[in-house]
Amino acid sequence: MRKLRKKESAACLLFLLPSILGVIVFVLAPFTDVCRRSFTAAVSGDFRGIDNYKQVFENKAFWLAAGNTAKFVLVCLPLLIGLGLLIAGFLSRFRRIHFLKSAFLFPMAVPAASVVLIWKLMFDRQGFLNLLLTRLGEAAYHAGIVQSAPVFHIDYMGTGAAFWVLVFSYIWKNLGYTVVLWLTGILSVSDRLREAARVDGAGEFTCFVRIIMPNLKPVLYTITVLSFLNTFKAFREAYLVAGSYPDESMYLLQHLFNNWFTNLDFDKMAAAAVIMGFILFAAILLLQKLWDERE
Amino acid sequence: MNKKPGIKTIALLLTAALLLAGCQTSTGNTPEGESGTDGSEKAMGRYMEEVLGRPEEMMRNAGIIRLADGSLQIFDYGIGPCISQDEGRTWTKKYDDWMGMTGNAYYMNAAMAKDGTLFLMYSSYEETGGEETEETEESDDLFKMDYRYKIVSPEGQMRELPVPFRTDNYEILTNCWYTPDNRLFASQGGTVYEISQEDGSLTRLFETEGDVELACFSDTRMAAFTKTKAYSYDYVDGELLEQAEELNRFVQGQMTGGIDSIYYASGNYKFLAALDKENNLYLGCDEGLYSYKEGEGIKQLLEGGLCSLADPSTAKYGMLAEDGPVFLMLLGSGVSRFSYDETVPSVPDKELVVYSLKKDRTIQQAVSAYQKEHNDVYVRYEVGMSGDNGQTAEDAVKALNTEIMAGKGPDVLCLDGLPMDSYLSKGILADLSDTLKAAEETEEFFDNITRALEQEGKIYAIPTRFRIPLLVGNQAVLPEIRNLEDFADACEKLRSENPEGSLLSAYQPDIVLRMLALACAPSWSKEDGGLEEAAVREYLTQAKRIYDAEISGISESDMESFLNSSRSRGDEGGSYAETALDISFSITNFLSNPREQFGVGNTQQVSLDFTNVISISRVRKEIAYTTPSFQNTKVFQAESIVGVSARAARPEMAKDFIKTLLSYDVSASQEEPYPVNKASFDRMFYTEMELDTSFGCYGIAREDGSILTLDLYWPNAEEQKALKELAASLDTPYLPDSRIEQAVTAAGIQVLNGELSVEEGVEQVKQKVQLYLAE
Repeated sequence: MRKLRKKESAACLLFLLPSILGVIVFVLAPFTDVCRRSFTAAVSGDFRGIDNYKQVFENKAFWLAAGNTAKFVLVCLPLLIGLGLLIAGFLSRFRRIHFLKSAFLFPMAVPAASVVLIWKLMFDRQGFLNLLLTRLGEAAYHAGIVQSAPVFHIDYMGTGAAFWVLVFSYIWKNLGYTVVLWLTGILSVSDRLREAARVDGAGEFTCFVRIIMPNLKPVLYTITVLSFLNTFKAFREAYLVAGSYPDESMYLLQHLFNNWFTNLDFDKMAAAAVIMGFILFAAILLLQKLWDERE
Repeated sequence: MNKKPGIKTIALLLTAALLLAGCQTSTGNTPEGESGTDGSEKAMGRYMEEVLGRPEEMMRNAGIIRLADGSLQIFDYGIGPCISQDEGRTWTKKYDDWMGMTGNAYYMNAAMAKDGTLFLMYSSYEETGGEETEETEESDDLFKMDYRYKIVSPEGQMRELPVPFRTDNYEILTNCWYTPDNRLFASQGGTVYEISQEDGSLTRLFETEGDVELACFSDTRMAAFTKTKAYSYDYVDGELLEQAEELNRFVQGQMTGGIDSIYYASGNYKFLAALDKENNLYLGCDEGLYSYKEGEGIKQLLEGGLCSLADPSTAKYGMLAEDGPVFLMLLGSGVSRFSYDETVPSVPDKELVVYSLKKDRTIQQAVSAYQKEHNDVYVRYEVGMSGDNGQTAEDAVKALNTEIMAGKGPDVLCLDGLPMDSYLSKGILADLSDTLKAAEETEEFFDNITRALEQEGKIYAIPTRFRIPLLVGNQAVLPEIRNLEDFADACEKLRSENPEGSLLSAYQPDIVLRMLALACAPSWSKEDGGLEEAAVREYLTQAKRIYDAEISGISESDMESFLNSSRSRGDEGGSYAETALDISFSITNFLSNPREQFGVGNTQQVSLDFTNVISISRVRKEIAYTTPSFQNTKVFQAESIVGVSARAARPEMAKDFIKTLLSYDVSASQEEPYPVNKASFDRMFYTEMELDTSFGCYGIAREDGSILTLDLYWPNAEEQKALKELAASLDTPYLPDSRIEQAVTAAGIQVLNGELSVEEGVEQVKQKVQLYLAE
């Protein structure tokens, strides 16, 4: 019996070894090097103690970027998870929705460059959104609702609206995927459980809240972690549309890291990366703990 | 259970080993590619270039040929055939008075036969008096070319040959060649013909996609090249042979970056080709010397950077492949002989890496010059945005930074477009004070420019070229413009006096902003890099006034024709704003619009733009020029700014390269922008023309069919002195396209268009710049 266990352990280790090695080579080793660099000067490599960390914490751009990133995560996550659940709950009533799943995933398949083009066409000063609003204004004027026809020339990417454009883009891109994940969870709940609840007199809402929702906790964790990580990918579009220095409202941590890299501020970048790494790690641990407790 | 600590230990050791391997801090760049350091045998042998000689007065020519008697011949359109009996070292003219022999004729094409016969395509012209013309009615005769053909026998007897190409049907010969057995071939309209030397009649040989521009011959075969394809033709059997796709790709690879022809009107080629006796093909281009053998494909024999071929100022006229193979190439510098030397290492022992974000002609020339002087050094020139890798400037900078941090960065950096301030503050650049001082011992420089970026007595970056912003206008008004507000006042006054027409030749907000930025941008940043908010506010306020004055007089039709001309330019000539920043663009408007106006822009060379500035004032006596005094005075635009990496693997070699870069030879080989080397700056004024007579003219066709012409004059001694004094007085460097300028221009366009108020514009700039500065 003991021999068998030993053999099993060795087999497990063999199977795990490639991924462990991968994590060591591509994650742990570089991150350790980043940790080391966070205590040294960028070019000379001289030891600087915690000076780099001090500089990061005193850096206004860091606080702005961190604040915007946190705000973005706090706005987007509940919005995406809530909207996704609502739509998935609604769609789960229909039996033949499988063919829709690939359609939901379509926004994720659209290349970032194409999304950027759409952004530009939509949100430019002379873009479709302003055109639409101007046309609506004209219609309202002709209908006698307003006294003059307003002409819209809002620079969405150059004002505080840029943040909400970013939120919109993130939701548009990730909503379908989130709906598919929710749907998978909802549809995996046994029909017999629902039938039994209905027999006991539960309505649609009660059934959803009391039967389906508790069964979705594992899916919620997955969706939250994935959505959280996807928020960092919103940078690609933001960068391609507005460059290294966008409007303040959409200046994210990735902008800052990107610019530090360009300006050879590797020391500050390393310190900030370590801080970010620990915050992310803590957030994921927290989520897991919450999930474990609810389990 | 007791196995667990073991596994953990192995994992930890593994991690530690990886970290130790990956975290080696390099203190400097390691010399790479240096053979012999590992104890292995050096690979030996490579083609070496020997520069032989050239006819003294050689200019535009039709290449080189080995005549049947073994001598070499070059046909120069100006001095006729030149013969060398000593393999290209010395040359003598075959005819003392070639021009006298041929009369008033402009030669466009020529072919040389091995027996010394010449076939010439030319257009005759009549001598005209040197009368000054300001406005000429366009007539059919003005630009009419009268294409004729003649054959010159080896003895110098000439006879006309009536080749039946119809000029009125645009049938113009593209190029012509003699085969080794003296048959005459020519290409026209996608067909290669044989021309009868008896009566000029044409025989079709084969059809091509586009015209054949370059061809070479063996005893049986013709290799021909159009802009897109290579052809192989057996001219003995009259059979078009199948050609490898690889050669087509080579040709197409040469036609990139705006290049759209192999053969230029000046007689030189984008690349050269020659066939040897075994029908092996050899190609010479910027990238080097290549061979193409059937079954073996294309192989590089010598890299362009190791010889003259990569030098952008070296024109390529002709090539011969002889036994060995040994190659003779007729280049702008003369005949170069390329022969294989087994005693030299195949790759030079030492390597010097030079980097620029965009291809820089000055650097290219310095690389070539340094390479010629140092056979034991391989100078590798890296271009971040080469155009074929699709990289943005930021991508390229990031890739460069990674290399620098990994200790594999370049030795010499051209800092144009790079984050110079960051490199300075991070200690990436080495002090070049001693290098400059050593260079100053042998040559004289505009030290107001070379030392403009000096910091606390140390020089980390040296501009090697510069442009001079000029303000052109009425000489009575120019002295009154002492700042930007004065200029805005002057523009508004002009507009009130002239309700119609352009004042500045600046039809778009970004053109106005960039024109004014030439003499304003340096004042927007404080010494610590912070934003001078008041200066930006003043700039936007006055720019708005100037733009409003400008735009209020431009009619819709003027604007439409401007936009049409910018659209028709496409991508070829850069953006319209860049064109408008060239002072000669403004001069064109002084010519076409006789009313009072201003011109703001850069002069960057004598022959093509400064001549315009001084010539317009000879037609319109009231016009003068000065350096603009807006928010800054005495500004110059610094270019080709070079520095040496503090981590350079071979710092002395890198500093030596900087000296080559500053030398007279490198500086004088390129006319624009102005060089900091004073002797080469003076060289730009050299001419054998008479100073007080016009040396040419340029014309603008009007919509009504008339043509306005401006007679061009070479600067006289006084004008030369004035420009030199002006250059020596400039003390404020303008480094274009800084982060602050980008932010100010972006906000400025909205302010000028009325979408933002000046205050809102300043706020926008502040926000962007503060973000940048806060980082």
